[in-house]
Amino acid sequence: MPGPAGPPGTNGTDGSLLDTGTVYGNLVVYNEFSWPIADSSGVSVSLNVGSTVHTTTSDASGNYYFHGLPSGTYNLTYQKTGFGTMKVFGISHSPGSSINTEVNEVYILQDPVKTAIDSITVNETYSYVQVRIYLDTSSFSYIQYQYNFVLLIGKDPTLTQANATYSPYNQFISPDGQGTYSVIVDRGQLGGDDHSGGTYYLTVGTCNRWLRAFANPNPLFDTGLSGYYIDPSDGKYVYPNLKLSPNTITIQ
Amino acid sequence: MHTLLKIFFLLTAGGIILSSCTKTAEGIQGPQGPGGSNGNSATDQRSGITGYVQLVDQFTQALSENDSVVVSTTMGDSALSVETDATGLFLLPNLKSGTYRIMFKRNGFDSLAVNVKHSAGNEDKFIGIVQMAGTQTTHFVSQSIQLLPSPFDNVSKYADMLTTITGPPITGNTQRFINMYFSSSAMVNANNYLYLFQTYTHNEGTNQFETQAFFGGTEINSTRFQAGDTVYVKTYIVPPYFFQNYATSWFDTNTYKSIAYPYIGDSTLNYFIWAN
Repeated sequence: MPGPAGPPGTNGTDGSLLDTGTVYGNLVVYNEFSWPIADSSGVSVSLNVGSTVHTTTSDASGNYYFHGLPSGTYNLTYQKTGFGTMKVFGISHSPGSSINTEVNEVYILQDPVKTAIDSITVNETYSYVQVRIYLDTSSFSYIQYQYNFVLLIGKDPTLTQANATYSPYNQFISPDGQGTYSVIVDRGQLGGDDHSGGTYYLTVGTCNRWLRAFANPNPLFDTGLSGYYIDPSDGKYVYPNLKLSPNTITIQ
Repeated sequence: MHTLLKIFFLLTAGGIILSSCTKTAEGIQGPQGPGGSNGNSATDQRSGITGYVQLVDQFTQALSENDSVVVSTTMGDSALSVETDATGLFLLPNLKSGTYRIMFKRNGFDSLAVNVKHSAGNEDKFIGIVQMAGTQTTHFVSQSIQLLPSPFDNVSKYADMLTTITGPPITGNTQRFINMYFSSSAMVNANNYLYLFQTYTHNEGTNQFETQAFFGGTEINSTRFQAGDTVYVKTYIVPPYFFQNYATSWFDTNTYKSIAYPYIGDSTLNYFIWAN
C-alpha cells in the first residue's frame, strides 16, 4: 500500500515589479569646527533590498546613486570613519516614470577630536554659576566657533536634552581669551520657571552645525538643517556626533 | 507510597513510548505532494506607515503622555484606524503602494492631516514626529476701547484696550498671544483690515490685560478718519508665536488649500469712535 501524499511544496517566490529606478541624493561633510570639507567623497551609503545590503560611496561632490532599485520603502545609513553615523528613514521609491527618487540633503558631521573637552569647572556665587570649559586649543588655526558647545542643566543625574530644565539656546558659550570657553548662568534660571533650589547636574557637550538646545517647551536640539535623525525604535532625536556623557558636575 | 506509585507509572509509560519508537514503517512511498501556492503578486506588496505623535498643550508645554490619538486613513473603500501608545507611536499596517491622507485626532487638540507617498516593499514607511497642538480654549469676556491723545506729541493718538478673558490667570506659563485687526468696516477680519496689531500678555496674574495701539495723525494705514467715525477692532486669540515657528501647514485635498496649523482661537468684535 502506498503511503499518503507528501506535503505541498514550498510557495513560489513573490513576484517583483519589472520597473526599477534610481535612488540618489547629496550629502555634505562637515569637520568638527562646522566647516564644510571640500572633498565629500568616501562616505559609505547603504540600504537593504530584502535581506541584501546594497552599498555605494559618495563622490567628491557628495553625490551618491543606487541604480536599478525595485519599488519599495528604503532606509539609508551613512558611515565614514571618525564621523557620526547618519540615517534617513522611509524613502518611498516607485519607479516606472521618468522621475527618479531624490533623498533630501544630509549632513555628515565629524566626531570631536580637537574640540573634545578635557575638563569643566564651575564657580558658584550667590546669584550666578560660571561654567568654564577647558580643551587643548594649541593646534587651532582659528577660534572654535561658539555655537559648537551645548550646555544642559537639570535635576536628573543622567541628563539628556529631554529632561534638562535649562539650556541656554540664546546665551552662547564664548571664548574667554585665556584658552578656555565660559558661560555665566543666572541661578534663577536653573530650574526653569519654578526654581526650587537643591542639587543640579550640568553637562557640556561638543557638536557642530550651530547646534542649539531647546530644553523647554520643545525637547529637541536644532541643528539648523539635516544634522540629526529621529530613531523609529523610540521616537527620540539622535545627534550623531554629539558627545555629552563624561562631563557631569554637580551644582549645589 | 504515592511517590513510588508515580515513579512506577512513569517508568511504564516510558517503556511503552520506547517500544513504539523502535518499530519501523514499511510500505511503498506515497505520491509527491501538490505544488506550493503562488508567491504574492508584485502589485500587492504591502508595508506599514509608522511614526510618532508629540502632543503640545495650548501654552506650548510638551506632554509626556501621548496616547489615544486616533490615526486613520482609507485604502480604497476600507477605513483604517489605530491609536497611539503613551510614547506617541502609531503603526498603520499592511498598506499597498499609493498616496495616503492620514488624519490625526484627539479631543482637546487641533486635528490635522498629513499626505504620505507610500511605496510598500520590505520596510515600513517611517514619517517621523507629527506635532499636535492643544486647542486654544481662551474665550473673550469683554473688551473696552478708548481713543486717547498720545503723551508724546499733539497729533498722535492711541487706542487703549482693556480685555477680559476666560481660562487660567495670565502668568509666564499661560501667556496669551493676540492679533488685533483695525478697520472702518464691521466686516473686519484677518483678510479684510487696515492695520494689524500683534501683541501678547505678560505676567498680569489676573484674567485681564491692557494693550495700546498707536496711530499717527488722523489716519490708519492711509485711510483718513474724521471725528465721529467708527473704528472696528476684531481681536483673535492666536497660537503662541514661538510655537508658530515650529508650526506647519497641511494641504487639504478636499478644498485644495494649505491650512496653517495650529489654529486660531476665539475672536471678538468691538469698536470705538474716532475723535480729533
